[in-house]
Amino acid sequence: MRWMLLLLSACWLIACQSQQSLPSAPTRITIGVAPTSVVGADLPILLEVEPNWNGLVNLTMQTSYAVHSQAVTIVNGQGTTSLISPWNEQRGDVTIVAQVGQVQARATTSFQPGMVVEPLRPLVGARSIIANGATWSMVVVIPHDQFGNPIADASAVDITAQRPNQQLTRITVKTAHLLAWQRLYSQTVAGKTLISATSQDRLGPQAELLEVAGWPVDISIQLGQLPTRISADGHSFIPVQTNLIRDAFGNVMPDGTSVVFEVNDGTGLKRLINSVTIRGVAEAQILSPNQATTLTIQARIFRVASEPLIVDVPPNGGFDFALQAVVATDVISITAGPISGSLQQYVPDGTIAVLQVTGPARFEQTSDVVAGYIQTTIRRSLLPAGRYTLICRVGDKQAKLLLVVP
Amino acid sequence: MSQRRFKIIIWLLFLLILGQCGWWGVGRVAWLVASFQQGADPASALKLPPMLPPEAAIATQWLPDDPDTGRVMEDFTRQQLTSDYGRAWLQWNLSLKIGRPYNLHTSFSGPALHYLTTSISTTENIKIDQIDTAHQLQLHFYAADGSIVALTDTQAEIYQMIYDADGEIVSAQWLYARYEIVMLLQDGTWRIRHWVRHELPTPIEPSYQPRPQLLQVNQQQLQLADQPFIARGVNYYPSKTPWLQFWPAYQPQQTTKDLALVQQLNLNSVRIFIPFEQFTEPYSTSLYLRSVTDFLDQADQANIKVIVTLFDFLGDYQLARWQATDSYLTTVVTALREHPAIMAWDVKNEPDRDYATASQVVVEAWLQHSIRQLRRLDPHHLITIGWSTPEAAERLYQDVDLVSFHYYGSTELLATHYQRLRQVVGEKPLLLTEIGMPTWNSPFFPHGHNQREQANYLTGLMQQAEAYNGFLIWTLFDIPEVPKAVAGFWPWQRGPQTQLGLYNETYEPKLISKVLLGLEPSPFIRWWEAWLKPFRITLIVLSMLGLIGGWQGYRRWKRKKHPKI
Repeated sequence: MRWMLLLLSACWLIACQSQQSLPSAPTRITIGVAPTSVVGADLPILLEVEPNWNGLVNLTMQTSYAVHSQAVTIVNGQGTTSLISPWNEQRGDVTIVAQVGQVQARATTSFQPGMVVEPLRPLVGARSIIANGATWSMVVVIPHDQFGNPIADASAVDITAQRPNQQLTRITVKTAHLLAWQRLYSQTVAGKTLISATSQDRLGPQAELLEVAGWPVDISIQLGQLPTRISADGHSFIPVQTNLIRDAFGNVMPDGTSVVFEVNDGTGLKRLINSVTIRGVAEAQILSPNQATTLTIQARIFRVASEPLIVDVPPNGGFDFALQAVVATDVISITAGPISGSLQQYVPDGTIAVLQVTGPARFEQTSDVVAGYIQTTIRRSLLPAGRYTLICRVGDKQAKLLLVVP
Repeated sequence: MSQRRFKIIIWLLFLLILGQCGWWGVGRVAWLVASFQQGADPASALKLPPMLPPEAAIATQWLPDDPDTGRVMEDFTRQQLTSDYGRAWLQWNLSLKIGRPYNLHTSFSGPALHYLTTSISTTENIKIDQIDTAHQLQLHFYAADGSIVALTDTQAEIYQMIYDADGEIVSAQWLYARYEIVMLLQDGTWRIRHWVRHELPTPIEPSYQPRPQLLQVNQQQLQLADQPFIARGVNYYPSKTPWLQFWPAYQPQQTTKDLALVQQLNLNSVRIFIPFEQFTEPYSTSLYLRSVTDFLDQADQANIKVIVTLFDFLGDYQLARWQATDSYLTTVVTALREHPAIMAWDVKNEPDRDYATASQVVVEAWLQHSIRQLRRLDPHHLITIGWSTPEAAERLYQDVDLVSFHYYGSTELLATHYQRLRQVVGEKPLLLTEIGMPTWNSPFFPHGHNQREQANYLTGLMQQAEAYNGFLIWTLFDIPEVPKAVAGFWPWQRGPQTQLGLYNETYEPKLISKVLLGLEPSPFIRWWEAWLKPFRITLIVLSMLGLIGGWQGYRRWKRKKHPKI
C-alpha cells in the first residue's frame, strides 16, 4: 500500500511540473557588423536569431589569407563575438557566414589597411641606364602598414631623385594595385643618382641608379711617350693611347670600357690588342716588328672606331753579330752574339731570335736572347748528312753560316 | 633454467627480431616497387613540390592588359606567371586539406607566407577542403627589370567545404572574389608577396539560349522545329565492343549498320556514353572525338537525335579532381557543341548511385558546378542528369532543362512516379532515359524473364512514357561480355545484364523488336505462363525429386525400425 502511495505521489509531482516548451527552430539569422574596420582592431559581430532562440551558431569567416570558424552561443536570440588577432590583421574583405541547420546568413565587412610604417624601400631597376635623356629606369615602392598590408590605394608616395649634377627631381605618385611606381628618365650627365621614397612622413633607405655615358664619339689614337725611337728591333714596344673618350653629351666613358686596338703590320697580319679605359683613356703596347714596315693602328669600341694611326717603323740601327756552330756526336751546338742594340748594348733578354736551317732537311726554331747571346742546340738526328745554310735573325739583323753535317 | 635452454631462447629471440626486420625490409622494397609500377609520382617519394597538373592552367584566362603596364610582358613570362600562380593556389589548397603548411614557401613570400602559415597552423578544430575552378587575370604592372608584377584576379571562383573535428560538414559554399596581387620573381619562381581579397557577388551565369534548329523545351514538352518531339530510342553500344571498348574500337561501318536498324524500328533517338578517363588521355582524345563526331554525323544523316552522356565511369568527385573534370568538359563540349544531332547533354549517368562512396553533398555540388561549366561552354543544348530512380530525380531539377530518370520497376507504379515528379519539378519536361527487361531466363536463378514478358513490360512502359516526352530502352543489343565493373561478379548479377537488348548479339530480333516494327502485337501474359519459366520448372522438379526421395527414405527408415516379422 505504501508503495502504491509513493508511486501515485511521484506521478502527481511529474504531472504538476511546469511544461517546458520545446525550443523552436530558428527561422532567421541576422549578422550585425560594421561595414568597414581598420586592421588590428577587434571587430565586434552581433548575431540575432529569430525567434528568441538558444543554442550555438556556427560562424565561418573568410579573410584574405585565412578561414576561421567558431561557434557562438546564442541566448534569448542574441549572441556576440569578435574577430580578433590574428584574423583581424589582414587587409581585404571578410565574408561572414552564420549557419544553424539550413538557416544561413551572410555579411561582408572590409578591413582597411593602417597607416604606412617605415621603412619605405624604393626598388630600382634597371640599376644602370644611359645618360642620354631618353632611356629610363623604374622606381617601385610597396608601402605597407604595421601588419605588412599594402596601404590604401591612391595614397601619395613622394619619390626624390638627386641627379649627378646635384639637381633634385621630386615626383609624387599615387599607389594603385597595391604599389606605386614611376619611370625615372635619365638626364645628360653621367654619375650616380640617389633615390628616396617617403609617404605620410615615413622614410626609408636610399637606392642608387647609375647613369652612364652612352656611345662614344670622336675616338682618336696617338703614340704614347716613346722610350727612345721606334725601330724594327722585334723587342721594343710602341706605346699607343686613345684620347679622352666621351659620349655625345661629353660624359667620359666609365672605367673598364673595353677598347680593342687593331694593328695591321702591312704584311697582311692583323693583331688585336684588348684594353680598357681608365679615366676615359685606353692604352696599349705594340711589340715592334722584326722588319721595317708601316703599322696601321685603329681603336674600336664595339662598332665605333677611331681614325687609323699610321706609324712608320724604320730598320733597327743595331750591329751585326757572329754565328758559330759546333757539330758533336749527338747535337749541333749553336752560339750567336753578342747581339746588340743601337747603343751597342745587349738587346733585352727574351728578345726572340729565329733560327732557320735549309739544306737536305729544312726546319725553323725560335729561341730567346739571354745576356746578349743565343745558345741553342739542334739534334743531329733531325739533320741528315749534307751541307746546310744556317741563318739567325734578330730584329732586322741576321747572321749566316755554312754547316757541313758528316 | 639451464644454460642451454637460456641460449636457445636468446637465439630464438634473435631469429625472431631478424625475421621481423627482414620482413619489414622486403615489404618496404616491395611497396616502393609496386608504387612506382602503378605510376606513382617520383616527386611524392622525393618530397618535391607537386607538379602543377596541366588542367590547372586551363582554368586561368588572361584579360587584356592595362594600357601602360610599365613594360610589355613576354609570352614566356606570362606562361611562367600563369603556372606559378596556379601552383600557389594548389599549394594553398593542399595545405588546407592536410591541415599544415605544405611547401607554401615555394609559392608565397613575405607577409603572404607569414599569414598563410599562421592561419593554417592555428586552424585546429576544422578541416577545409577547397578548389579554385576559375581565374581571370589582368596585368597592371610589370617592372622594367622583370622582377615585380601587380595583377588582379578579377574573378576567382572557389568552392569550399568546411568540416568539423568529427568530419561533419559545417559549410559548403561557393566563394567569388577579386584578388589584388603583387608577385615577385625570386630564385626563378614567381611568388605571391601580397594579396588582398575583395568579395564579389555571385556572378550571373549564362542561361539556356534555345536555337530553332536544335531540340528545345516548350513548357512540359520537348520541341523540334516548332513540332512536339517524342523521343523513342535506345541506349546504344555495339554488341561486341560495349562500354570502354566502344570508342577505342570504333568502326564507322558498324555505326551505319546499327543506326539503320534503329531507323527500321521507327526510333528517333539514341543515348551514348563518353567515358571520363578515355577522353582525358592526352594522346587518344582527339582520335576518340573524331569517332564521336562521325557517330553524330551518321546519326544526323539518319535523322536520329543523340543524348550524349558525359563523365561515364567517373566515381571520384573530390574537390581536387574538379579541375580535371572541367578540362574534360572543355575538351569534349568544345569539340561537339555545334553538332545539330545532339539532343541533350546528360551530365552524368546515375550519379545518385555514387552517394554511398562519395558524399551526397560533394556529388551534388560537383553536378551543379559541372552543369554551370557546361552551360558556359554550350548555352544552346539541353542539359539533364540521368538519375537512376524517379525519387533521385527530385534533386537538382532547378539546375537542369530536362528531368530524366531510369525506371526498372513495375509498370503499374510508373504513373504514380510520373505524377509525383510532375508535382515536384513543376513545368520541367520529363524523360525516361532507361527502361529495360532482361530475357535472361536461367534454370538455376530466380527473376528470369522471357521475350514475351519483355515485350509486354516494355510496351506497357512505352505507352505511358509517350505522354511524358518519350523513352529510351536499354539497350539495342544483347551484350554477351559485360565487364565486372559494370554488373558485378556473380552470375545472377551479370546474366541479366547480358540480355537486355532488342536484338541478340547475332542481330536476331527479339519479340519486342517485332512489336516495334508492327509485325507482332504486344503479347498478353497469362497467369500460368509464370510457371513455365525454367527456374520454376527446375524448382518443381527438384521439389518432386525431394518429395520422392524423402518418401523413399522415410519408408526405408520405417522398415528398419519396424522390420516385418
